[in-house]
Amino acid sequence: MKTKDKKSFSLSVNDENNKKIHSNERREFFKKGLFYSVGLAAASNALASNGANVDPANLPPNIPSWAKIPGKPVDWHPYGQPSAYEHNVIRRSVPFLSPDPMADVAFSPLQDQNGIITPNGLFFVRDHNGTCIVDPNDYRLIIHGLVDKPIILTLEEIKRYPSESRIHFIECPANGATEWRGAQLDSVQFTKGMLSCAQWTGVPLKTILKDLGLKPNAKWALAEGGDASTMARSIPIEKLLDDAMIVYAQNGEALRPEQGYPVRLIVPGWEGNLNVKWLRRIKIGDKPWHAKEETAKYTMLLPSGKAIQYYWVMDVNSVITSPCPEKPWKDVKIGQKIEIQGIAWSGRGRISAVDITFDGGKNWTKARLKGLILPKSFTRFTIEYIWNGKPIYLASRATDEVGMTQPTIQKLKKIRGVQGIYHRNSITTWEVKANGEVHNVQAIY
Amino acid sequence: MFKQFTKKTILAILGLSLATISYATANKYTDAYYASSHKYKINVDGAIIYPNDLRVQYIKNDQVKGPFHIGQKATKKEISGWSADIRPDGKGLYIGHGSVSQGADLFENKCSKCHGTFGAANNGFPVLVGGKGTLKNQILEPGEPGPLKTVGSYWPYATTLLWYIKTAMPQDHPNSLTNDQAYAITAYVLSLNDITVGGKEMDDDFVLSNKNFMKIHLPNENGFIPKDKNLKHSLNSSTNPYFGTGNRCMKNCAKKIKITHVVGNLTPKINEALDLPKPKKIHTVSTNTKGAKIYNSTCVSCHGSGVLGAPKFGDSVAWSKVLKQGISKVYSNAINGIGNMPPKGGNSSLSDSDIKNAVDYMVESSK
Repeated sequence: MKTKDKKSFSLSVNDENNKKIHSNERREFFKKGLFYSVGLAAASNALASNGANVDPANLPPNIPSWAKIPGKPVDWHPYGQPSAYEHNVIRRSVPFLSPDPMADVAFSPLQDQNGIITPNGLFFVRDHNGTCIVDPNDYRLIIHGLVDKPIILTLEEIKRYPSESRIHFIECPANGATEWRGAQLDSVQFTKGMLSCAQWTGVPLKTILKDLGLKPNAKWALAEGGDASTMARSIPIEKLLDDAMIVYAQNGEALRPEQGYPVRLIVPGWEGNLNVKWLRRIKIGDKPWHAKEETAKYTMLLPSGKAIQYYWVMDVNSVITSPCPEKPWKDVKIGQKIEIQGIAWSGRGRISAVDITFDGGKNWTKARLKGLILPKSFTRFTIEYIWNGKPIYLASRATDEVGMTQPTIQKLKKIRGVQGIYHRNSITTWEVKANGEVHNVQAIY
Repeated sequence: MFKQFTKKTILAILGLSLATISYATANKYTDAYYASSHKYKINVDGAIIYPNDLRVQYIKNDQVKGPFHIGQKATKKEISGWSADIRPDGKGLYIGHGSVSQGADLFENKCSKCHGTFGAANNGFPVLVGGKGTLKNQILEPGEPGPLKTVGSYWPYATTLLWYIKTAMPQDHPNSLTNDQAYAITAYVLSLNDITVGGKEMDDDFVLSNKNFMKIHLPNENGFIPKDKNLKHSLNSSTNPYFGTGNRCMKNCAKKIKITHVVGNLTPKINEALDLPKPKKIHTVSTNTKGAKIYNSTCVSCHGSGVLGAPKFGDSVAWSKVLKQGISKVYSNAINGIGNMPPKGGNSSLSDSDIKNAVDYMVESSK
């Protein structure tokens, strides 16, 4: 935290200048540079709050350099690109999580996510043996087993069915798995970034399954990917006939290879792993298959030594993304009214409420929801706040429309121990320090 | 209507363009809409002002009904070619057989570079052996032993193992094993875990096949909850004690709160600056086609991504470190093996000059 005088100023001038000029003289120098001397100001390259250089020659009253030359032609990038200045807004991985980048996860930068739609290039990636590159002309989907008409479909044929577009999040159940024993990664990207939300377009599976005709003993389906891991999972038929979809588009364009191009399964609100990418086969059966990714992995080991299998639904969850460790309050001045906001989501339906605490969890205030409040989707929450510059312990706690509320980490540990890896939906707490830094902490109560 | 009439009259008199007429039509629609609803105020541009800014409408097409007659009938041949799934009850079990000793040889050649000798990987890849009696371990303090989840200690069904090996392993050449090879490797991994088949120990000569496979029962078969018949019960949040749910207390929710901070320094450093990227170094691509071919068939599985300490293809920093020991040493390491890398990258059919070609290709492409 800084006030309007010395501290804020020291953050506006780069180290080079700090060394040269005695701190008492800095303010005077800055003022002169800004108000009296264009030449000096141009040389003083102040630091913006994000640490980048500011060139005063581009600031009013000067005409910025980019207004003095024509811009780029309209066909500069036939497929549009983000501004080059946004090159640090990227997916990132944590080196120690996997020895193999083909069986790893790339976390979405939630700190830079605005609204409820994750841009396709930033959608988190979890592969089990590499991002598969499929030729759409040779793509085939087989649906067989306990159906009256086993079928093989091309991509074009899948697109001929009546389509739907729906907004749903996908979250890897291992999201936040590093934080069971205590705060470990000081970041929203690395503790919550196995999570993204998009508008998916495709065919509701029930449209196709009803058309093919299910046998009376059809109870389960095996959804299998065509990638190098042949990733497969068992799914109860009730879910497939409810809201599962076979999708080929994401946010208005074809799926990205990382998201299963040309076709993936969407199982709204359930474990990300069930949303099988590069979907090649759906087999209908009467019992589950106990595939590797639903026995050896994606099962939660309890202190009793037993493991929970088939815990499909992603429980109600939320996180504050502004501020967060990556987006601190170093530039916030006393007296400013600023927005605290974040994302809430639940695999069981809509978010009904989000509460905010400033004291680590003793007292809670109702935040407001904003924007689209859709089932099994990101929902934005917000609260305005005037910070007095003292340290706070900031956390959000979401409740969904079936009445489930995020537990504390203590509550979750009590029922599941610390070795379960998956489905850690407990409250996330940020410490905002007096200097504006934000850190990941855990509030134990 | 009077409004429309006057507008049309004025338009006719002034003889304005088609564009203006279409504006008048649009205006007619909103006027009518406004008149019929009385609900909405109209903005200066003639558009509706939504009360409380609420403007959401989601329309679902509920008229969808087949038959669609889309797609072809999937033939038995097509289906069987893509069906390698095996259920715990044996449905889908492959016809085939393989011995423990055959499996040991295959494992050494195809699996040990990741899973280690005897399956005791110590490089972050899954350990395949041991862990019995560890499943109740909880790491509450640093240094305490955790649970070790292996085929022997954790997996409930051997069918899953055979299926997984057949379709997903070895990781650098998935879908490459014959049924017999998959049986042999499965037999070896099970024997490492002292699994018995119908009470019979799996010694080196033991042959696992579709005939005796269903006699296998893994120790942790009953280690999973819920059992399938209770699935609906388990999905109900009021009857499942493991759901992650708390309560919505608003005031004085805790007497004392202890704050714990980040332990260790494991967070990757990231740069959030809004600045221009540094220009990327342009890599030279080698024209050594012979080396490229060998690289793509044998070396790429590790050097392509830089796993297991392999210097990554194109990574000039990593390769310059390796080259410090001199190119002849790099050749001999590649031929004889070093660290996690088996001799000749595990492909003994390659000649020494093949290996040198591949090394040259990687070095030339990583300058």
